[in-house]
Order: sequence, then C-alpha cells, then structure tokens
Amino acid sequence: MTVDPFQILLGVSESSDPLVLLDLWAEHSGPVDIYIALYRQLVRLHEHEQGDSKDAEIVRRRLYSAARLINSSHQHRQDRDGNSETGLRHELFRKFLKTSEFADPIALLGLPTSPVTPASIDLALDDRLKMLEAHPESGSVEAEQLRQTLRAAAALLKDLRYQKAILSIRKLAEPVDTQHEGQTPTKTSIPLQTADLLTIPPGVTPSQERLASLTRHQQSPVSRVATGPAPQSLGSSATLTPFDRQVLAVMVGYGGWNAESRSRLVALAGRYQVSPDGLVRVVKGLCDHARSHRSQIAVSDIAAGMPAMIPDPNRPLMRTISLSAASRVRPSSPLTEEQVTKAGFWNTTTISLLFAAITLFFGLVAMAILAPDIFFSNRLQTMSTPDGDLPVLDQINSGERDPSSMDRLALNSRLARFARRPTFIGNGLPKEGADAADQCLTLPEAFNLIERKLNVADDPSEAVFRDWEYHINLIATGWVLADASTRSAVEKSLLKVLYAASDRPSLCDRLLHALTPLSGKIPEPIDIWRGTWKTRMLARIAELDNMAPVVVEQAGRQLEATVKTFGLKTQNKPVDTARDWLDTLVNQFVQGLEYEPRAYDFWELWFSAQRELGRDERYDESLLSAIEVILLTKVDLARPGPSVNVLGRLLEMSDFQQSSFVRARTLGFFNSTAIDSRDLWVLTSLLATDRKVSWFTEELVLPDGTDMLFRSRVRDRIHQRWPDIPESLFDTQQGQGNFLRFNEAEVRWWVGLFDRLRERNPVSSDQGRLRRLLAASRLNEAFALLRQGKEKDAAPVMKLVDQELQASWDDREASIASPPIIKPGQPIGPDGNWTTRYRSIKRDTNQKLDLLSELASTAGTDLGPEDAELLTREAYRGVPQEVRTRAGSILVHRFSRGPTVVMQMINQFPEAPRNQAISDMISKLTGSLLPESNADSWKAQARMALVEHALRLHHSGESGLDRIAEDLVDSLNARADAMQSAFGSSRQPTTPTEAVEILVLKWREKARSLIVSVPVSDDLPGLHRRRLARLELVEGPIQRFVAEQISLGDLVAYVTVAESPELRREVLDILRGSMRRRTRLSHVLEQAYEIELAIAALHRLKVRSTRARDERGKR
Amino acid sequence: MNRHASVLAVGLALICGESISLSARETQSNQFVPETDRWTARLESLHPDNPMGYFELGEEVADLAQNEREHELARRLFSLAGLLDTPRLGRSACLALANIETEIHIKRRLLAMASLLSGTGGGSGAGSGLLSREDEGGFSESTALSVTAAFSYYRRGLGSRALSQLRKPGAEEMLMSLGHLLRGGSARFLEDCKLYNGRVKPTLTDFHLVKMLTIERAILSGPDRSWASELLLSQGRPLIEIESDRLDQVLGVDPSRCIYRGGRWIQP
Repeated sequence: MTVDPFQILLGVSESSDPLVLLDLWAEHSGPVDIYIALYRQLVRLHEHEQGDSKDAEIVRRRLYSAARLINSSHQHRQDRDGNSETGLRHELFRKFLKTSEFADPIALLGLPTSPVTPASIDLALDDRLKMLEAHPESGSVEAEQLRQTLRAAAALLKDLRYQKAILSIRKLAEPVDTQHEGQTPTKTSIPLQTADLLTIPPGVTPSQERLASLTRHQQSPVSRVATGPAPQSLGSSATLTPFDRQVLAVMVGYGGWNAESRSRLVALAGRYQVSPDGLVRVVKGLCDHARSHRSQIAVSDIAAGMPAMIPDPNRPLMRTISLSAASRVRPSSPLTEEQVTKAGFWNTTTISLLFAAITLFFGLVAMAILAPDIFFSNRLQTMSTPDGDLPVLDQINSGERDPSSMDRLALNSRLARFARRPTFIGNGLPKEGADAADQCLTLPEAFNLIERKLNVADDPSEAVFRDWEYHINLIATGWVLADASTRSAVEKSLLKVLYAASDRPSLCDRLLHALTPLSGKIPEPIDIWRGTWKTRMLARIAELDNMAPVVVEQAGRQLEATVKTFGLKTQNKPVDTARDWLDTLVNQFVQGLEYEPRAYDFWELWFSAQRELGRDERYDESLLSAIEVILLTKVDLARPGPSVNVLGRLLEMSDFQQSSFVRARTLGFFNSTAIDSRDLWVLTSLLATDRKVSWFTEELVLPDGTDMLFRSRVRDRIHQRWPDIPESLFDTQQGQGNFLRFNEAEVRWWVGLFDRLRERNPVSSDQGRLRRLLAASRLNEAFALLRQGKEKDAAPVMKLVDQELQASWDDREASIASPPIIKPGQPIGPDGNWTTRYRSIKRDTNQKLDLLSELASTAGTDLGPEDAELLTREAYRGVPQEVRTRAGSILVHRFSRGPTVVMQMINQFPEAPRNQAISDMISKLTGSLLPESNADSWKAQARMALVEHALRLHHSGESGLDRIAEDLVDSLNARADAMQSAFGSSRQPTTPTEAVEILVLKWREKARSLIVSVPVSDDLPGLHRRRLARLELVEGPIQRFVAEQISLGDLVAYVTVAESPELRREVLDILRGSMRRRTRLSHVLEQAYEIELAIAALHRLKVRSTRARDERGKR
Repeated sequence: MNRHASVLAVGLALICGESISLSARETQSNQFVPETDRWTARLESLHPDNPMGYFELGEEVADLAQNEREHELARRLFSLAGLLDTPRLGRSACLALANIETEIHIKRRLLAMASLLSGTGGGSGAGSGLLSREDEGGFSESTALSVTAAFSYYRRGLGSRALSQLRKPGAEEMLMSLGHLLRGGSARFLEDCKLYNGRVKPTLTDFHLVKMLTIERAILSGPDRSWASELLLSQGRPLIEIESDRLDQVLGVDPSRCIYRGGRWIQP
C-alpha cells in the first residue's frame, strides 16, 4: 500500500483541497492570510523529521501551488458591496519589490541573511514601505495588499522559530521560473540567485541530499553557482548568470577592485536593479566559488553571451591591462578568452587571491559606502497576525509587563485596517416618504373635513374611517421630510377629530386604532418612520390635559398594549417613548445585516427618525445601544462587511467629544466580558482612524486577543485622554478617586431632607405608607443624580420630596389626581317593557331584529336590570346568529358605558360561548386588546377586561395606590439610569419589583468591579445565597420587592465599605439596626420604607466621610 | 339478732365498697401522671456534650406526642439539638421542626433557615412544596375563574351554581382566604348561596359590588397583580426575615438552659 507523504508530513491527504493543504479555515481568508498560511505550513514541514526528504520537496511545491491557486481565485472575486478582493498580484510584487508574491520573508523584505534581528527587520520593512510610498500607485488597493504582506513577513521573521526555519529552507522556498539568458533577470532570479550563492549558515551543515538537490537545482536551465564543497565542478557557462558574468567581466576588465571597477559595478547593479546587498552577495559568492573550487573560471564563463564591456572614453583603461590588450577591446565584441588570457596577469589563481582579499575589504567598505543609514521608527502598523504566536501578545497576556511597559505596548498597538473606511449610505430619501411629505400640506384641511363629518353624523360611514386611516398613514410616512410647522398643523387638526369623537368611545377606539404601530418584524424601511410617528402621537395623546378624558384613557390603553408588546417604558415623554420603539428595532436590524439586501436602507431611515426626534442624551443612548448590540454579535468585525460598515457609521454619528453618556457607555464596553477583545480592537481602530476623534490616537487601540486586566488598563488610559466634559463625580475604579465632590448647597439640602424624613411619624393608611416609601426612593434618586454631577436634575426631585414632607402622609388621599372618569350611561324609561315585548315574539327573527333596533334608538345609554339581562343574553347566546350580531353591535355601540349592562356581561360571562365574535365584542366594549379566543389565557383576560371596565364605570379605575406605584417605578428607573453601567436592558421595567431587580443587577456589577479585602456584610456569593433564601419566603409582589430591596441594601453597604473601609463599623451598625427594626414591623410597606431609609443612611455616611476627608485635606 | 347481722353486713359492704372505691381512685390517680413525667428519666439523662441525644429524644416525643405540651417538648428538644451543634444538627433540627409545625408562616421560616444552613442558599426546596410561585400569594388562574364565576352566580341569585363552582379544586380554600374582604365573611357568603337559590337575588350596594369587583380583579391578576390588589389580598403582611447566624432567634430557645432537673430546664 502506498503511503501518502502528505498524510505523514502535514496530516492531510494528497488530494485535499488547497484550503485544507494550507490549513486555511475559511474561504474568506485574505491574500495575506494565504501568505502566512503558506509559510506556516512550510515551517511545519521543515520541522518534520522527514522535512529533508524528496517527498517533502513534493509537498513543498504543492503548497506553493495551492497558495497560488487560492490567490488567483481572490483576484476574480467581488464581494456583496461591489468591492474587489485582490489577491497578491505577481506583477505588482515584481513591479514594486522585484520579488515574487510568495517570496520568503527575507527576500520580500530584502534582508541579508545574517544577522536577522528585530532591528534589521524593522529597518528593512521601513525601507520597503518607503519604496512603496514613493511609487505613483502607492494609494492603490494592490499597494495596500503589498504593505500588509510586508508587515506579515516582518511579523513572521520576528518569531524566532519561523525565522530559523525560513533561514534554513529558503533555498528550497520556491521553484524558480525559467530564465532565459540574455534577458533581464526575472522576478525570482536575482534575490534567489544571490541566496543560492550563500554558503551554508554557520553551524548548519546541509545533508548530502540537500546539497545534491542544490546541485540539481543549479543545473536547471537557470544557471547557478554552486556553493560550498559541491561534489561536482561546474565549469560550464550554464552555471553563471549574465549578471555574474558581467561582474566578473568588470572585475577583470578594470583590473580588479578599484575605484573604476567599483563605480562600474554600482552602475551595473543599478541597471540590473540589484540591491547593494545583492551585489555584495554576488561578489562574495564568486569569491567563495573561486576559493572553494580552485578551478579555472574560463573566459567563456565570464564572457559568453554577454555584450562586451564598453570602455568609458572618459576614463583611462585600467592600468593593469596592457595597452595592447586594451586597444584590442572593441565595442560590441565580447571579451575573448584570448584577450583575458593574454592579459596574463589575470589567471585564476590571481583572481582567487584577489577576490579573497577584496571579500574582506568589501565587507568592511560596503556598509559604510553602499548601505544608507535609514531612520528607524517604532511606529509599526501591522495587520492582524496569526493568533497567539507573537511575543508581544504573549507578554501582554502573561501580565509580566510592568506598568511602564504600557507605553511600549501602546506604541506596539496594531490597527485593524480596511481597504476603505467602513461605513455606508442607504436610501435616506424614499420615494413614498417624499410623496407623502408633499401631500402633508393638504392634511389639515382633510382632517377638518373628517371632523365636520363626525360632528354631523352619529354613525359615520366607512368612508370616513378609510379617509382617516389614509391620512394618518400619509403623515406617518412623510413626517420626517415635512417641515415642523406642517407637522404641527397636521397634528393639531388630527386632535380635533379625536375630540369630536370623544363622546363615542367605540368611535374613538376605532380612530385611535389607526395609530397603533406595527408589531412584529418591520416589513419595509418606511414602516420605521410610520411606527415612530404613531408611537409618539399615541404617547402624546395619552398625556394631554386638554383632551377629552375618554380619548386620553383609550389612547393610554392602546399605548399600554403597545408598551407591553414592545416592552417600552410607561409614563415617559412621547419623544422618549417613540425613541424606545425605535430602539426595539435594533435587534431585528442587526440580525438581518448579513443577509438582508435592504439592510442599509433600514438603518438609514432609522438614523433619520432618531435625528428627527432630537439629538440629546437619549439620541446618544440609542446609538451606543445599537453599537453594543453589534459588538455582541458573533460576526467578525475585522472582516469587511455590512456589520462593520454599520458600526463605522454609528461611530461617526456618535459624539466622542462632548457626550458624557457616550464616554460612559464606551468605557463600559471594556468591562463587559460579553464583548470580545477582537471587536474592541476593531472599534478602537476605527476611532483611531477617525479624523473627527483626533484625541483618540493609535496608542489607545486595544490589541486583539487581550485579557480583561489589560482591557481595564487600556480603558483607564482612554478615560484619561478623553476630552474634558462634566466629569462623573464618582469613580469606583479600584479604590481610586472614591471621593464625592458635591455642590455643597445641594448636599446640605439633601441631608436636611433625609433628617426630616427620618423623623416623620408613622402612618396608618396604605396610601400614606406608599407615599412615604416613594419619598424615600426619590431621596435616593436625588443622591444618585448629585453623585453624577446632575444638580439640575436632582433639584426638582428634591423639591418633590420637600413637598411631600410638608404635610401628613395620610392626609393626601383626596389630592391624588383622579383617573380619567368615564361618565356612566343612564337608562331611559321603565325597565322590563322591552323584555316583555321581546319575549312575546318567540322565534320570529325579523321581529327580534326590529325590536333590537328599536331598543337602540329609544333607550338611553344604559338599561334597567331586566332589559340588560335579556340584551346581554341575546348578545352572548342569541339565536340565530343575526340576532346575536345585532344585539352585540347595539350593546357595544350604545351601551358600552352602561354599568348595568356591563355587570350583566360579567355575570353571564361564565356561560358565554368562547369564540372570536364574542372576543371582539368584549374587546370593543372594553377597549382592551385580547388574545385569540382559543388562547389559554383568554378567559381570564376577557373577564378581567370586563371587570376593569365595570370598575371604571363605578369611578374605581386605577387606584391611587397603583398610581403611586408607577411613580415609584419611575424613581427606581431613574436611579438605575444614573448609574454608569455596561449593563443595559432593552426592556424598561414596568413594575416596582422589576425596577428594583435592575437596580440590584447594576449594583452587583459595580460591586464585582471592586477588590475587597474584608467584605461587608458577606462576600458576593454569600450575599447571593442570602438573597435566594430570602426569596423562598416571599409571598406576593410587594414582599418580593422588599426581598430585592434588602439585597440592594446589602450591595450598597458592600460598595460603601469597599470604597471607604474606614466606614465598616458604622455601615454594619446601620445594617443591623435596620434589620432589628424591620423584624418588629407588621406591614410590608413599612419594611420597604425602612430599607430605603437605611440606604439613604449609607449615602449620608458617605457624605460625612467625604466632608471629613476634605477637612483633613484643608488642614 | 337477724336485724343486727343485716345491718352489720350492709355496713361491711359499704366499708368494703368504699375501700374498693378508694383503692380504685388511688390506682387511677397513680395512672394519671404529668405529661412529661414519662420522659423525665430520659430528659434528665441529656447532656450538652451529646446534642444528638436531644435530637433523638425529640423524634421519639414527636412521634408519640398526645397533647400540646408534648409537642412543645419535642420542639424544645429539636431546638436545643440544633443550637448545641448547629453545623451538624442545625439544618436537621429546622426541618424536623417544620415538619411538626402547623403555623404556615413559622413553617416557611424554618424551611428558609434550613436552606440557609445548608450553604446552598435558596432553591433547595427542603421538601417544602409550599415554596412555589403559586403559593407566593398567587392563585391559579382556573381557581380564580371558579371563584369569580361563583361571584357571578351569587349576584344573579343562582346560589347552587355558585356552590357548584366553589366545589372545584382550590376554590373554597381561596374563598376562605378572602373571607376578610367579603361582607360577613366567607361563611356568610356560603350561607347566602344556599338561600339565594333562583328566586331572589341578593341586594348589593354599590360599595359591596365594587368590593367584589376589586377582589375579582385582584385574584384574576395572578402573582403579578398590582400593588393595590396585593395589599387588598394580603393586608400588607410583612416579609419574614431570618439570619443564618441567629438560629436562636428563629428557634426561640435559650441554649444555655439545656439541663432538665426537677421538671425545669436549667443551666449546667
């Protein structure tokens, strides 16, 4: 059985795909990746114990072939964006560097073979880069490929393992192209020729086989000069190249090594584009050859096939040549053997001795005269290199570097480079948007017409609703492109329509339904604009003071359904609610980036909608959140593509100069273990190459593959360099800067509020307790804002607390703003008459329908108990269906505000059939969105909708308690928002429990970032265990809230002591005292208040500690 | 002569009967011993050097306890065992106490302490079965629908149908837990259901009607009900808190008094 040498040497089959042969793991591998992969495999082959075998040579050649094959396939590939991926183009390498595209790194960099040091590598690289820069096409994509290849070659050589291997194998590095005599040496000939002329490196003795192969190589059509103690004499003209011959001819013709011969040699080297080093190597090789062979170099060896030397008429002939000999040198005739021989003096021995002498001399002179002194720069800009092999990364990750090496590390940081800067432009001017914007001017009049129609007709026609929906769609489609005054006029007229419909709840409901944004996946880019406008409009209507309460309430319910669907904040400004809606789309867009053909259009319209909502901190937040979502994907951002293009654009749009939010979020990325270092490398590289972010230099680029410790150090450095903006007053990094610097007046105010809050008398009502809890939370909210330097935001919060403290907690029940009231309906006429007549009809459907219609026209807006019972029964279970439908319609349109009718709906609900018609009826009656009638939760939700509707009709809608609870949610959310954290949630909490859970998570994240020697009151795992045990005892959402609050208190204590260890004893006293008091409390809201007070006490402690420290500092 | 013999015989009989009676009472009084007396010897042999002895005796007492005093004795024995050797017996003591505890809040507290002492934090379950999300104050949706349906039938005067709904699993228990919110309590409600049986409907004021609707809203909301609904149902019941290093507080026993002498627990 034949053994596959590929399997033995590389572990792959001979028939493997080129990618497999080169161990390239993706077809996306770029040209430089191919180069690196080739040499990686060559080194691997070389290091194999059979690396010298014939089979190894075959494998080696296949590797080159594979590299060329993959490389050439790149040259014909275009990516999705229309960019061409160029391969390493042979003719360009020859053009710029006079080498092959797969020349070994030493040849590529034009390095002498010894010594190869990091300094010489850098020098050579710099030399090559400058050569490239000087070329007219230096700005081309191909030139960039060359640069990358050069850097990759330098990186390979800096690895000692690779360097040694390459030095050993470079003679066998590449098959040499056919070189025709008389032609200018080709791409491979000259450097490789000179390489071949080298003797074996010191200490390395080639095997006989290798020597033989060298000899075989040299007996190819391209002549070579044997090196070392070659077993065969060469003695044939085929062994010398034309250049070799000319060098010899110059030496002979000018009588050896002298000024003239030197100048001719230099000129000759320039003509053949041989570098000074190459010339040195040729001369040296000839010397070695002559010395080692001790055989005659025939004149024909020197002269064959080469043009005769043409003496410089301005220069005298070499003195060592007799005049007679010199006179016989004629132009265009080659030197003949006779001529050289007749010179007599120039026999082989003499030449050997001469060359031996000048070898030493030339070695000393060459560097001084021929090698320029090139300035070495440390600012290397290299491409990404093979993972994990480079000493720099090893040192970074081993943590052995001392802090002072940060500068060196910064200097050695590597930029992720792209052929063109990642960004994009989508279609930001969609035609339908433009058309709609043009028509917006007509909308005020159109809405006015609808308003008039509604005022006239109780039951408007379907055409009115169609017009309404059409015009809503117009403004929603074109608002971004319409001017502000037009938008304002349209919205004003739209609101008038709603007001006109306010006395008909079902009508309002239908009109408002047109404002519901799409749920689920956004099908078209323009739907982004539509959804944004609709969400904002709904939110705006829901908070209007001068709109009919029923409209406000129904808008609120619809908004609530939207909030639930998309997980938005409630009780937020309309603009913020709209922005929240936009933010929920980001995940969908990011997921579709790599395959959605209109991805850029979606993003472009998203940007424009965000801009139209205003450029404030929320705008910054949206951009940074989108950046974070991209960073969290698994897409390799170092690879050109849509993901990095969007990232680039987002970075361009973000304010890296003045926005403290952008700074906080960006720095937060470094703390997040979910974000890969590679992605941060790309992000920082993009910032470093962005002219607008001039302060972000290359030193701040985070290298790929770094660990968290290094990331935190780079983060700190970036933080230091960030331009001055209102600084965060609270720096929790590793115990540095834990001081609080306050506006003294604000802090005094805060402390005063704290003292007053503590001294309040207990309360007796649930509302009073909840209000007191809210005041305590607001006090802590104010502290969080003060800590961030946001005195202006803290002041109104403290004012609210102040107002609450003015009066007794229990005296406020009447002053709580009442919910919008639905005016309940009223019956007209005696109860039961209609029922009697209806029952007498028995089964006559037409008469039933007539009676039902009569009821609709004669009754009030409610019915008596008997009539209500019958109507409801007919609506639920009437026979036939027409009767059911008519009854249901009348019930919804006429009696939706009738308390008696609604109670009948509730009372007869257990027997009601379960179908979509009933569900729709209940939905319309109550204004609630219900799930499908076959859903498990339908029954409970439908009944709940009826119950809530009935409670509203009895003026008992949302209770004051729930309104205060909503304010508590806002306060807790504000406290969470005030914390600088990488933890971000796309879904804003809507209950106090959810809100406090988020706050706990943020404090836990903060606690984790600190190093603590003696934790209070337990270490983090211990605190977590206590939390879990506590949650086991929870009954109900309020107890759960309290359980989480206790965890929050524990974490605040932990962080306080971590930052100020001297406060340990006092913090423990606060915690223990609070627990003792809580165990004696008999109401859960009292417990909640006690915990908030304890947290405030911890903050108070911190203030006192800071003041004491300041005092000591002053003294 | 015969008369005298008769009188003497009767007198003797009386005396004998009295004697018998007396001796019988004596026997009975000897049998009627104080509840702990049968454990006295064992109790007096207990020593804090052998905490397991307390635990084992506690198990025996708990198995054979016939009255509240013996139950209390068992509790004390378990508590002392747990306090004298918390690392080894603390958790077991809490579990044993939870097992014999009838008050659900105390039971929860003991189970939570057991989980803290286990070092695994929460989630051990400790076989409680009580520490489920539903029992976190949330009623199952189907039970809530049954109770609200009962309310509907009640309002319509269809008492028997209301009672039929309340016979569904968990419904009557739920109604009992809501008793403090219903007019006259849950017992009155059940009685009314028997009375209002198709011919007469109950007359409800707006206040009571709204109250019933508020209860319906609360129980239909499930565990994530609003705070207003939660306060209505729970009446602000506080969260039970425990500290793992304060087992003595949870158990409520002074571990220093661990020697039983003369019918009392004293210090060694």
